[in-house]
Amino acid sequence: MSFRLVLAPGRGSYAKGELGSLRRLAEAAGSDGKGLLATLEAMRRELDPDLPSLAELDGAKAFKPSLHLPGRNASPLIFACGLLHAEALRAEGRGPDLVGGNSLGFYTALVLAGALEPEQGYRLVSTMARLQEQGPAGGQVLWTLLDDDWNVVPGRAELVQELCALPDLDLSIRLGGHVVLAGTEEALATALERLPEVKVGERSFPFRLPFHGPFHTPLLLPVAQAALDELADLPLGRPRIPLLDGRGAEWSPLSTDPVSLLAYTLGAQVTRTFDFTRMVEVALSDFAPDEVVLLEPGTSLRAPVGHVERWLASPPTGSTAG
Amino acid sequence: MSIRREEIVRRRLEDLLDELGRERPRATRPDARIPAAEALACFEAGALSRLLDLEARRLKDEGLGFYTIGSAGHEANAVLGRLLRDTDPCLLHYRSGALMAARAARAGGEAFVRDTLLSLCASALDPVSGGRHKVWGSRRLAVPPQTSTIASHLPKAVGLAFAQERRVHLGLDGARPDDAIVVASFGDASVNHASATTAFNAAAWARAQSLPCPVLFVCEDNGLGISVQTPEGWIRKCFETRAGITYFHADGRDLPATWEVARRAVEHCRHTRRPAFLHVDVVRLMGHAGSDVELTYRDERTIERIEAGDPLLAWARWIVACGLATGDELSAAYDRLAARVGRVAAGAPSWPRLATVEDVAAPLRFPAWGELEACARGAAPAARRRLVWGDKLPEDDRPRHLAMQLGRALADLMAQHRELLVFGEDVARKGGVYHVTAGLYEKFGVGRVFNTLLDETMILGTAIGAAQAGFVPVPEVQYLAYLHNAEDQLRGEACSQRFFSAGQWDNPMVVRVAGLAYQKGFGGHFHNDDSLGVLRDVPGLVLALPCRGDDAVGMLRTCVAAAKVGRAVCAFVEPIALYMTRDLHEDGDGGWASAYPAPGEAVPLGEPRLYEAGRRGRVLVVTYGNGVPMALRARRLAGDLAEQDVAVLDLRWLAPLPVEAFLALARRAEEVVLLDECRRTGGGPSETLATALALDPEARGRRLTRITAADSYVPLGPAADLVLPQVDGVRAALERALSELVDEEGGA
Repeated sequence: MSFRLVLAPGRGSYAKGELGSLRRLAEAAGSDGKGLLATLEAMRRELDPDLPSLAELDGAKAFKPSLHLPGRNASPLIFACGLLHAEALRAEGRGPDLVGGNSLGFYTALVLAGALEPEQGYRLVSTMARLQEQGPAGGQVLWTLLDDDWNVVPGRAELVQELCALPDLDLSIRLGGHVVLAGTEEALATALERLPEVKVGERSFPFRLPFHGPFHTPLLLPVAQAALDELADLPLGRPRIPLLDGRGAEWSPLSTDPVSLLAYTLGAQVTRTFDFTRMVEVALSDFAPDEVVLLEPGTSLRAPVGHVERWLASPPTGSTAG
Repeated sequence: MSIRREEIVRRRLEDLLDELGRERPRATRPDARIPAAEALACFEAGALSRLLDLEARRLKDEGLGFYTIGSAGHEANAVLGRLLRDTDPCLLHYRSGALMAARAARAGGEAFVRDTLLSLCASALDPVSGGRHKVWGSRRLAVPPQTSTIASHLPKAVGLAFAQERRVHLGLDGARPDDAIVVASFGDASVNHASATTAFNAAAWARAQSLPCPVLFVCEDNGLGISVQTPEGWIRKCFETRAGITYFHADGRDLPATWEVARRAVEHCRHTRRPAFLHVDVVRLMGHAGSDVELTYRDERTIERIEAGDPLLAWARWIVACGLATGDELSAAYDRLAARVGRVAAGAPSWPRLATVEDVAAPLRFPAWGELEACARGAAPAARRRLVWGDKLPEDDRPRHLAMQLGRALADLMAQHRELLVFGEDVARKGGVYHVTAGLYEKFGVGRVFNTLLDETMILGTAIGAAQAGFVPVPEVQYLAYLHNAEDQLRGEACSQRFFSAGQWDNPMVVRVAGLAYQKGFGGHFHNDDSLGVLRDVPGLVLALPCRGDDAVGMLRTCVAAAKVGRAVCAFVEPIALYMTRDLHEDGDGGWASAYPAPGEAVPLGEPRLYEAGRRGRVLVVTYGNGVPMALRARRLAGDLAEQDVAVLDLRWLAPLPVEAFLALARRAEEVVLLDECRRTGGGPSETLATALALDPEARGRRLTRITAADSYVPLGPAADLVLPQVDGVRAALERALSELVDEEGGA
């Protein structure tokens, strides 16, 4: 029997090339997919009546950063694509046995694990997007520890650590061979000055992630506080399959305490480094899946997961701590 | 009756889970003593640990695994894995699988299943020991790995608890919260080990002196030491009323009771900062290890009765009875874990193992001088030195003897390194039996210079613990003969730490040992012991042996750097008979006193000192310690020719032994005299050097004389001279060698 790891992507995974993904995935997911999409759209109408529907966003003639990238549109769209992709797999008999996700993808994973119903998942995603938009200014910068051949460049992790010692700048996400730094505008400006420009393949680093806030840093404490107020009644339950979080910790179907899971989801998950690298390390090495599925939209997880796979086969000599 | 019990133990649990799955779900009746999620997490950790035990045996059968001592029946320790913080250091017994599983799950982000299997398979990928041993360990989870087979980890647990508190007291930054506690677990049979009794004694002694020592001893009592039964009630009788250590007891099959008692024990230790003893009844399932056939010492009924007491059975029944989960849910969790262990273990055939001697011994390498030099040549700021010395800097003083210069070096090093501690028997106010530490207590205070109880095992255990708490300990062992009952703390613990942790954990220290013979005033074996062999064969141990004040100062600076920067364990043997020696050839010549080397001077690790011959050095005397002044005296007594033609090499370092420097000189000499004050067999370095000489293509064939102590203890009184090398014997050897050289010259 094949054991399947399913990982959901985070913000930034729905870009120009992903237009139409939602419709395609909903079709692939058959009637259950269509039902699921209808449920999510209904939730969107209820909770975000002033915003375009998911189908409208996905069906837009052109990708508009000012439309598609702000959190209140991007997050629900990415969340919906992930759920529909997973539903399409389930329809083929390829449901998940272990789930995780990067950042926003963790909310998707909560639903895929069965700890949260899709409607309530939408509520979580939409609320967090709104609170973040209303939250403190700042953003995220993507940087890499790697050279063109995916070797860890000596000194890069140390530089990141040095920068993270600056006020209001923190390691937001460990993303395989990449890292995401987040902080206030001022702190980011300093970081961008100090990080040398490099290229890996076609991609240039450092890269300011547009419309992203200072996610997974203590700057989001007010957001976490507001989320606890608004979402205290979020009906989280025990997951039905093991779920991995942004520390690489497992929430097991047997022993999960839903109160602790809620506290983590709205607390440390929001304000502390999201360690996707460790999540993948644990998933691959300690669960030994037969199959790994990276959910759509897009292919943003392919490289980070590839980095970790390679490190597990042949551990890097330099620091990857970031 | 099956000899192999693992299938029976497995089936009994699986059958019970099936049976419970057929029961009607019960209404939830939580037990106030333990949160429901914690109870379920304990069951999961216990089940995972059990499955890994079973897998260990399968891997052994397949020829892929190499370790089968398991945790089956001891799963109650999972409660500690959940209750303790991952900043509480845990020094664990080998049956701690469930504790580690629970601790790893609680912290998250650990690849516990894979790491355990890698370790069982001695794979080089094992992140703890790198394939060197099956040990429980994790840097992230504050679990220093060790083997724990003879309770030799208990003294260092007490030492660590004491030293963590001392760190707080001294206001040094600590890696851990101020209220961290130290946990050490062991079995009931281990309680009888000398190293265990000394640790309990030291913890109680600390309590008696109102010294904080937050150590939690956890005795997992399965009633057996391999095949030897522990008398009924023995642990309780020994510890229930022991002064200074608070006793707690729980039956490990009763999950809520164990949780409640363990929680109280942890809290007691954390809040009172006093030692506690948690006694947990457990059972041992499936024998001591895979190779142990229990039927040779236990009857079938007993084995079956014990198997029926499997804690996982009791826990599962209780969980279902309380409605915390259904049997089906427990079964599903168990099946998920079993499948996961199986999937991960399927990779075992391809896991690499250590392939070369260099790989195996890599963590034991001696630090390179280049790494140490800056630290060894460093000094405290001038202003701080002035606080220590006033206006009279020791380097401006006249030449002095070894003991005084050593004391001054210690003072300078204490001023330079805030984390350096000096402790041992009588080292504080008294200043040591030979006054080496005189004045340090007054200069640096009781926080950094303190007397220990009279127990060498605990002196070294304290050093290991202090080192793991971030200090650079410089303990003193009063006499070499006193080291022997404690020697395993160096061999089995301190020096093995880097080996068993692939260099990730260490316990650097400089152990000063007063030793060797030739004392005039204080005779007999115990104060004149010359058993260096015990130190020479400890892998990775730096062994320094200075014979004069200036060398001692430079070498001590290097040793402290080797500890602080090179993370090495160093033994620093001080020849007692030379402590107060000022003269070399005649009374009052001051030939053996030396000036205090100014800060900045140090002796490179492994570098010997050569006392050159006046002209040619056709005879090379190779020696150390008391042998050095003896050889110099013999050279003088042998006359001018000897002064011209005899060079004396003081090895100074017995590990790393300067073999290359020795051979380079030996190749140029015509006769080599190895003067070794230790015993002829298995003692000092002369056997090793003789072998090196014999095997060296360029030096082979040199005439070789070996002068050593006899294979005897050192007796009291003048008879000591009979067994120890004497200056007259060395002189005779030199005269003979020189005459043969002259004869040959004449013949030519």
